[in-house]
Amino acid sequence: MSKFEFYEKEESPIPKYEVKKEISDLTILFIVASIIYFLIAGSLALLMRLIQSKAFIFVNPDQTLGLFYASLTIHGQLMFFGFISMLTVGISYYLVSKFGKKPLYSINLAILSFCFLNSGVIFLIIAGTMFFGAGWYNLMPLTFHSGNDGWSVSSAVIFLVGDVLIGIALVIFCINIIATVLSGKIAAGIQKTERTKLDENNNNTEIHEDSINKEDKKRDDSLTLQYLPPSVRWISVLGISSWFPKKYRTAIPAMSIVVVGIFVNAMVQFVGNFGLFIQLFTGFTYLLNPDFQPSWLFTKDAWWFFGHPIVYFTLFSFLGAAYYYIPRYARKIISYDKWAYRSWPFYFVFTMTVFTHHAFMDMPNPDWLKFIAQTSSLAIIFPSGLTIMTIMMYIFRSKISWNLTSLFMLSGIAGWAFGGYSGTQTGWWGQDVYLHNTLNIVGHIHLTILMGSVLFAMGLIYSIIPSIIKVAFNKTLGILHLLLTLIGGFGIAFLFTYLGFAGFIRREAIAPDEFAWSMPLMLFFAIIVGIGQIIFAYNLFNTLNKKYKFLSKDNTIFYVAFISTAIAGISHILIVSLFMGFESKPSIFLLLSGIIQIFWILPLVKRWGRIWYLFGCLGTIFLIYLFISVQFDMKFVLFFLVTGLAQIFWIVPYLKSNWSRKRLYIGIGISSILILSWLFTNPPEKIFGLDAPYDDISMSLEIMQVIFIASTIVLVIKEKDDSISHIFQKLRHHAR
Amino acid sequence: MGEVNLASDLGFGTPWLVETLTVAILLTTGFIIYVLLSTRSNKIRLSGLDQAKYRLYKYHAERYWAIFVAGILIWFWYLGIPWMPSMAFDNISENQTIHVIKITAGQWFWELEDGGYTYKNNSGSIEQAPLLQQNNSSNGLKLNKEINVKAGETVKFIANSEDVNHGFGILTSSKSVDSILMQMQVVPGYDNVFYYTFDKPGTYTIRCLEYCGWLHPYMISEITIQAT
Repeated sequence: MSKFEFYEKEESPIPKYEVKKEISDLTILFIVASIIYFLIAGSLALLMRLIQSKAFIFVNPDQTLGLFYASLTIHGQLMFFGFISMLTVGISYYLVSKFGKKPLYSINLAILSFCFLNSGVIFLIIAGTMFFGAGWYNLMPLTFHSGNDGWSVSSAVIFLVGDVLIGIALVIFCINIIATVLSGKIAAGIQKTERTKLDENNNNTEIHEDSINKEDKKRDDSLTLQYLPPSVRWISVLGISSWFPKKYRTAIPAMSIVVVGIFVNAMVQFVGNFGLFIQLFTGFTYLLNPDFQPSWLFTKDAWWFFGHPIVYFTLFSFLGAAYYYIPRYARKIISYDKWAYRSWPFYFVFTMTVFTHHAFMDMPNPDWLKFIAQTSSLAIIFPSGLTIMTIMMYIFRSKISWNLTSLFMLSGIAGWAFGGYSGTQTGWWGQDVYLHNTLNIVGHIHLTILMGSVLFAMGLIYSIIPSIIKVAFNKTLGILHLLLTLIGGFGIAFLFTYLGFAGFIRREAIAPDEFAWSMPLMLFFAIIVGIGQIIFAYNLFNTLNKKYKFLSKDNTIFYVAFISTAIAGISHILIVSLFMGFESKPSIFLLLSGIIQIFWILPLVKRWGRIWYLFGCLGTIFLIYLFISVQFDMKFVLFFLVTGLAQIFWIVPYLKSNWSRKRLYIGIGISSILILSWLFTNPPEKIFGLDAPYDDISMSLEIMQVIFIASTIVLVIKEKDDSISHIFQKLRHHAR
Repeated sequence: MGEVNLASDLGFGTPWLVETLTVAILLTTGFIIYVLLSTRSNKIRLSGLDQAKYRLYKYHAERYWAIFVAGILIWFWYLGIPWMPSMAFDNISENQTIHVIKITAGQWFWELEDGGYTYKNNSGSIEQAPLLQQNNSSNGLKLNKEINVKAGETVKFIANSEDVNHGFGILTSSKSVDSILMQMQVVPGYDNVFYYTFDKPGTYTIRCLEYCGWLHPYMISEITIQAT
C-alpha cells in the first residue's frame, strides 16, 4: 500500500490505438461540464444540510421549505444527468473508440448529444431557481399539483422540457454507441491485460524501453479489427459466448470487456428511455387537456422503467473499464477471462426488469409485477457478486501498483458492495415494508452511486485525462481527495442508512426532534466531502490548465471580474424572483441591473477595452450605494465611514515613530469620544433601515460586487488600451 | 381467529436488518483487507508451475463462488415468497372477521373512517356488518378521527387519494429502531389495500411516506388501538 507510483513512470495502460483528437477533446469537454454541474449539485446538497441543521434560516419558514425541496429536486436530477450521466456519456465515447479501435459512428451525433444534454440540464437549473420541487423523480401528478402557494406550473413545464432534452440526448448517445459497435469492423480477438516483462523479471521493476515497445506491440496485436457476422457479434458483445462450453467459446472472437460494458449500458438505456418518454407524454397531454385522466400508476411504472436503468447507466461503462484497468495495474497475465464476461448477459436482462421494485408498495399493481420485482432484485445480485469477486481476484496476490485509478476503483468496489447489501434487503417485498421511502433508501443510493459509480468515474478521470493531455495530476491532492471522499461519503451514506432503519422518513425538510442530533453530524460529513470535491476540481482544472493555458496570469483577473459580475447578476435576479416578485418598480430595476451585470461578462471575455471596464465599475459602485442607502440609515453609515477611516488613519503614528506624544494623546482622546458616542447612539438597533429577508444572498452579492470593482479597477489601470484617453482628448477638443 | 400472515409477521424486522447489514459490511471489509494484505506477501510474483496452480485455484474459486451466490439468492427468493402480498394476505382464513378502515389522503391531511366489519358467510361471499361508529368528516391539516379498533383484530385499510401520490405509513410513537410497522402507497384513482393486525393497544402515529409537496412533513395523524 505504501508504494505509490506516478502515471508518467508507467507505460500507457490502454491500447496503443490513438483516439481521434475531436473525440478526446469532446470527452474533456464532457468531463469539465460534468464537474461544474457536480459542484453546483454538491452546493445544493450542502444547502439542504444547512437548512436541516438550522444553520441557515430564512425569516419565512415556507421559503425554507420551498428552498429545501427545490434543492432536493435539482440536486437529484443534476447529479444524475448533469454530473454522472454526462461523465458516462463523455467517457464512454472515448473508451468505445479506444478499445473498439475505431472512430465513433458519428462525431456530429456525439456533439449533438453534448448540446442536448447541456441544454436540458440548464433548463433543470432554471426550473430550480423558480422553486420547482417535485423531487428528482417528479411523481406525477404532483408535478402539476404543488398544493397551496407551491411551485408554478410554468416551472414544471420548464423542468419537463429539460427532461425531454435530456431524454433525446441519451437516445442519441445510445444510438451512436450501438451503431459504432454493430457497424463495420471492430477490434476483437483475445484481450490481453498483462505486463509480461514484469512477471518474467521478478526482481526488476525497471523495464527497458525497447522491451515495452515490443510487449506493447504484442499486446496490441491481440485485438485486431475484424468484421464479425451479426449473430457472432451479438453473442460476443453481450458476453453470452462466455457461458458456452470451451470448444465453442474459444471459437468466437471476444470483444474488449470495456466495449461489452459500454454496449450493454447503451442497449439497456435505449430501451429504458421509452419509460421517460411515456411519462413525459402523459404529463404534457394532461397539461394540455384537463379532461384527460391518465393512469398515474402506469405513469409511475413507466418512469421507473427509465429511472432504474439510469442508475445502472451511471455504473456499467465504468465497471467494464474496471475489468480492464484493475488487472492492468495488478499486472496479471489474463488473456481472456470468461468470468469477466459472464456477468453481462445477466446485467442486460435484469437491469430492464429490476425497476419493478420501485413500485413494490403500490398495492394496485398486479402481483406478477411484484414477483418480477423480487426475482429481479435478487437476480441482479448474482452478476454483481461475480463482478466483485472477479475484480478482487485480479488484485489477490498481485503486485498491484497503487495509483489513484486503482485506489479509487477499489474504494468504488467497496462502496458498491455495501450499497448492494442494503439494496438486497429492500429487494424483498416483506422487508421493504419497513424501509421503503425512509432515509435507508437515500443511504443505499449514496452508497451505490456516490461511493460506487462516482469513485469508478473519478478513478477513470485520473487515468484518462493524463493519457489524453500527457500531463499528470497532482498525486498528493488526489490522495487527499480520495481520503476526504471516503470519510465524508461513507459517513453520510451510513448515517442515512441508520436513520432510515430508525424510521426517519425520506424527504422531510424538518428533521423530527428525536433525530435532530444527527443533522450537525450530517453537515460535518457533507462539508468533508465538499472540501474533497473542491480539491479535485482544483486539481483537474490545474492539470488541464497546464496543457491548455487558459489560466495564465494575464487572464486570471478577467476571470475574477466576469465570474464576480455573473454571480452578482444571478443573485440579483434570484432575489427578485424568490423574494420580491416582479410587480414593483424597485424589483424591475434590480432585475434589469442583474441582466446588465450578466451582460457585462461579454466585454470582459471579448476584451472590449478599458472604457467598458470603467463603466462596469462605476455602475456597480452605484448599485452598492443604492443598497447601502436602502438597507441602512445613511446618517449612521456616514458616521461609521468617517470613524472607520479615522481609526485606520491611526496606523500612521505606529508606522512613523517620530510622532510627538501630544498627537498621540489627541488620537486617544478622539477615539474615546468615538466609543462614547457609539454608546450613546446605540447603533446596533438603529442602523438597519428595513428588514431584509434575504440577508445571506444579498451580503454575498455585495461581496461579489466589491470584488468586481476591485478587479475592474486593476484592469483599468493595467490595460494599455487608450480608448479613455481618446475620449478625453475628444472632449478637450470639443471644449476648445 | 385462524392462522394469518400479516404485516406484523412480514420479513424479519428492522433489528434483524441492522444486524445482518452490519455483519455483511464487516465481512466484506475483512475480505477486502485480506486481499489487500495478499498483495504484500512474498508470493506476489508467481511464475511457471506456480502461476499455473494459481490460475487453476482462481478459476475454481470463481466457480464455487458463483454456485454459492446463486444458491444463497435462490434461498433468499424462497424465503421471501410467503411475505408477498398475494400469499400473505390471501392466507386470511375463511371465516375471518375483518375490520375495514377507509382512509382518504390529500394535500395535506389524513381522514380515517370506520368502515365496519366484513366476514365471509357460509356461501363464501363477503358480507358487511353494521357500522360500529360513524364519524363526521372534516378537513384540516392534522386530522385525528375517533375510530374504534381493538388489538388483535385484522384491519383492512382501504386508502384513496384525492390529489397526488401519498404514502400511508403507521409508526410506533417511540422512535426505536423498529418504528415503521406497515406502509403502502396511496395512488390516486385506485383502492389501495393493506391488511394489518395491531398486537398491542396504544396510540400509533400515521405519517405520509411519499413526498407530496412542501407540507409533506406535516401530514401527520394518529390512530388509537384499544385493548381487547
